Amino acid sequence: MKKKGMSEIVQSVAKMVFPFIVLYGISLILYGHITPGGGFAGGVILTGGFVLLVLAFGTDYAFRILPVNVAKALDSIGALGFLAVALLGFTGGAFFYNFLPKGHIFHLWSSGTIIISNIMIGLKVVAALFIAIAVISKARLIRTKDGFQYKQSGERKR
Amino acid sequence: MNHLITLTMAIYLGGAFLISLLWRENETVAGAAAISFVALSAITSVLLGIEVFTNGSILYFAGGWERPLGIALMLDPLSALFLIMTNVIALLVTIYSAVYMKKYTWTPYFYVLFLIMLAGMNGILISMDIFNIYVFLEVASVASFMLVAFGLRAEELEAAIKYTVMSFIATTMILFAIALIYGFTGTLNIARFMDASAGLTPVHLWFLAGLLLAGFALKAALVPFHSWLPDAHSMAPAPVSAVLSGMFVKVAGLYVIIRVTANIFTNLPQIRILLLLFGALSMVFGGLMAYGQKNIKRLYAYSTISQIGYCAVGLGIGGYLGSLGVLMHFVAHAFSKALLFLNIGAVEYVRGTVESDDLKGLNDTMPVTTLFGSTGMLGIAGVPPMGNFWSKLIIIIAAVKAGYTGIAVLCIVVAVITLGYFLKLQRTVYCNLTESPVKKEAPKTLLVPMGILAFMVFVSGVLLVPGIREHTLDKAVAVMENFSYVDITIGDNR
Repeated sequence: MKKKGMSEIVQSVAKMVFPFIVLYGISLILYGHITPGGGFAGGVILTGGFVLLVLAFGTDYAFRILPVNVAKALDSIGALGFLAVALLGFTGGAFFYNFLPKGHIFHLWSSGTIIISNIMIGLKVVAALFIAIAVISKARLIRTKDGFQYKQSGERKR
Repeated sequence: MNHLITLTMAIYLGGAFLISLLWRENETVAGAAAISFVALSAITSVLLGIEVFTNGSILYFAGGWERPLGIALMLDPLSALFLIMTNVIALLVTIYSAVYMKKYTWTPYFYVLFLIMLAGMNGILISMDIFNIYVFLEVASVASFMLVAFGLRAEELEAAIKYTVMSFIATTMILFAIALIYGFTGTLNIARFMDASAGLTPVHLWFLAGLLLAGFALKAALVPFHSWLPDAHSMAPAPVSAVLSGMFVKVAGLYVIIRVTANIFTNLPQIRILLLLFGALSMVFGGLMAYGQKNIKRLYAYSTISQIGYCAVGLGIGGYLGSLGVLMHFVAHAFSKALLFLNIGAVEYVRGTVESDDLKGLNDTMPVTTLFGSTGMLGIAGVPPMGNFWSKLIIIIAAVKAGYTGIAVLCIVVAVITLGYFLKLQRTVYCNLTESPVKKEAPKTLLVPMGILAFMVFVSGVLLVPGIREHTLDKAVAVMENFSYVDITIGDNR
């Protein structure tokens, strides 16, 4: 049986590079408050890693690593977590108030709630973009007699 | 009490993502949850409105940051009026959609998108910062694109794509103007920009005003920019049409145009002439186009263009009477247009069509729905006891007093045209006799929100009664006449 996805070279390189992309994305998210980057940029790079997997191994392999249902849940959890950080600010007296200790300047723990917000944004972005890519690669609108119908297609035949 | 200002929006966002996290498989629970979240937000906004109308505007800084740093949120009587209307109509529409949306698949996602759209609309109303207004405008718009395409039929997708493209042209212009505003003055706060704009040259001011006016006029569907509206509003599911036509064009378009003309570019009176022109064009064009429509939802959509024209004309005339007319017309039209779209949705729910050729004798088969529909039509046509009559009357009086006699005549002519196309609809659809009338009324869950809206259409004129007017509309008009940051915060140290 023919292997799914691209050639051996692409697959090996993708396997090697993927952890570094993920690491870089996570680092951008975590250090977003003191270096350039942040939740959105890190999240997009993390999704880039998954796009590489989708291209090299096909959608099924990528969906084994991050199932779509988990991604859907992460998407909502990210948004709700961000909102929770904002609402918990009421304990300090205002919406989005920084209720955590500020820590040491230029260290990882140096910004109170911003780091939590960044993590939540990162979760939301990675999950939402991943779902978008999953929809684009898997789902099709099929034209029928009375309009379009949403259909999930399988792996495309090569 | 001031903290509530953030909650109206936060409740919608939290509700939307809770539904998508927990109840995305279960449409009954999702519907009940959506209704309770919207009800919570409606109660919050009514409380806020009472606070604002009795004790004056609320200014709130996110994060507890001091002035110039904090993101300013503001609720003054003008935005409080829009906020209450948005959330009350949204509540009725959500109750309605619990039954109506049963014929669609993926209903939980409808509630998610609907709540996100409402969150964006609430965000526009509480923002005092023009960039935040833009962000929330995009939040609400992107959700509304998907809601328009929710049925996935070919025409719905086409309407949604047209709407998306036109809307992005508008938001590009708005974003460009915002970037220029920040470059010229170094501030995005509406009140601060109002002060800083005194130092700008007329060319800069005209360019900024032109970009902002074109962008928001496209969202409000004033006539040279209207082409997306008839498709989008007639193809969306009925509850979505009701909110889009009843509130969305007014919040995303009219409200921001009021802010732009009355609050930001106060020293640019020529902008009002442009609004008069757009408004007059919209009134006539929308009215004449509505006359020839066979699809009833499309007729209502053109009628929206025509009635938004009245609001723009009132805004163009300006002054106390013009402003009062705009706000009254906004309230009355929001209730009656939401009622009409819900009404035609109920007809579609029972009979399965909205083409006027296929519908006959509704008066015999669906008497209660017909009663509510006729109330809405009489309302929009401006027949005396309804609120729309008084608003049109005020706008006409304002036009005569300001010396725009031609505009006043045009308003009267368009009012007659409006009555004309609704009477035609009554003749062909409602009062046509059928051979064998079989009674098949819409479900009660559809009828109750329509009944409440019909009642509102009847009594909305009460806002003009002296004694009530001083505490509601007059305060909002005062914001339109002379707006200043100092009025909101005493001891402002800018």
